[in-house]
Amino acid sequence: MSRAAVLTGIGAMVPDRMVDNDEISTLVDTNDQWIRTRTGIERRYWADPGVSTGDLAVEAGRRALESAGVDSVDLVVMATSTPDQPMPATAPRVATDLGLGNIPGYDLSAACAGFIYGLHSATGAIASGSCERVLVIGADIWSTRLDPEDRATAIIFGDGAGAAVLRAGDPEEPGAFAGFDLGSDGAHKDLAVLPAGGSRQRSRGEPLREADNYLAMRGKEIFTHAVDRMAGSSTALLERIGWHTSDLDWFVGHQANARILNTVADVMHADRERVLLHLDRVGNTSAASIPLALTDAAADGRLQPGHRVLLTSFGGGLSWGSTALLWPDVAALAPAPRT
Amino acid sequence: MDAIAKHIVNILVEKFSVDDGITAATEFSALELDSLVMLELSVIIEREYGPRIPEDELLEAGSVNGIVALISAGAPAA
Repeated sequence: MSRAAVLTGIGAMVPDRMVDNDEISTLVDTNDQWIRTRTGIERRYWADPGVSTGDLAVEAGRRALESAGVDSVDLVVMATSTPDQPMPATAPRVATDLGLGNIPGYDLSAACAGFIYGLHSATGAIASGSCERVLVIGADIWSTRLDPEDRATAIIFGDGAGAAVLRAGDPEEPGAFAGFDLGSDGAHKDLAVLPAGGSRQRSRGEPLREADNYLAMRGKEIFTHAVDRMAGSSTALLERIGWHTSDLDWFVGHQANARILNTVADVMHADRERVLLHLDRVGNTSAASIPLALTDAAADGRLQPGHRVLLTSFGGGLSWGSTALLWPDVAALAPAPRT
Repeated sequence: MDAIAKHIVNILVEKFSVDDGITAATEFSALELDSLVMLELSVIIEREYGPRIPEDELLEAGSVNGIVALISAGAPAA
């Protein structure tokens, strides 16, 4: 019998400092009503000075290991676009801080699609027989990379981390990832870019410009590509694994914008009620968004064992990916306050 | 009302919470449409009818009837 990768633990966290839309309105020309209607976001959490992405990842990883009831894994895959530094990777430090020993660990860069890419890598490592258990983490701190004068980004992003423990198991059991659909399109690499820290910026031979430190995003084009790619990838995956849109209990898309997710549901002829929303309380947390949303919904009981769940994400690259599973019986703690 | 026009009016009312007094002839300028509605409609129209009509052309079409004319033409205006 073939080996499947099975979700056996999940955990997520956001930093302590809550930033509501009114506070954002003091930074850029906007207001609470505008942000809510355009994005669905009500608040987000930003890391305090001195806190790194790896710090958030350690806490999310600790919670996922606790949820799984294990204290060892064979590999750490860390999806992030905002690592502690360009080199070395953040994953080895996270593994060490979690007391996981000298196991392999690497960073994976696929922007907001990173967590699904991480699940895919972990599934491959388990299927090959080289790993029994893998910790997959998605974590990002974008708050320090936002141009306070750019409404396209400043209102959207929050910081956070989410993690999952995958173990070897049976393809038929709840929690087994039923398949993956991944893709990328470098022709649109300029739609979301952070130049600082990269070789292209350095090779210009010019000093770092202030703007190079900030994420630049072309929101309207991202919107249409996001809908196209998440809907297309989800449809392709469902067809491959023999599920129908109407079978889905939860459609869990990358939490960038509620209106993107609702439009994906519309074009797939899915019920908007099945769209899992978490961004209202945490904003767009990039690679952390899917595990944050899952952990929150598992903690409050919306996600129940046996539910058919589709995960789909989209981000800069362009990169996108989807997977699906029957939700397993896993323990979860709410990652962020509800009120 | 043309079937396509009726469908688009239904989408605007049911999905985008546009005032249900809208008809295919209602001028968009008389409605309070935010900047994302035409973007959302653009994606949905492409999925359902084929042509990708940019959101600014949808807005310039002026009404649902105008959009239907663009869809019927099969391609975005030059």
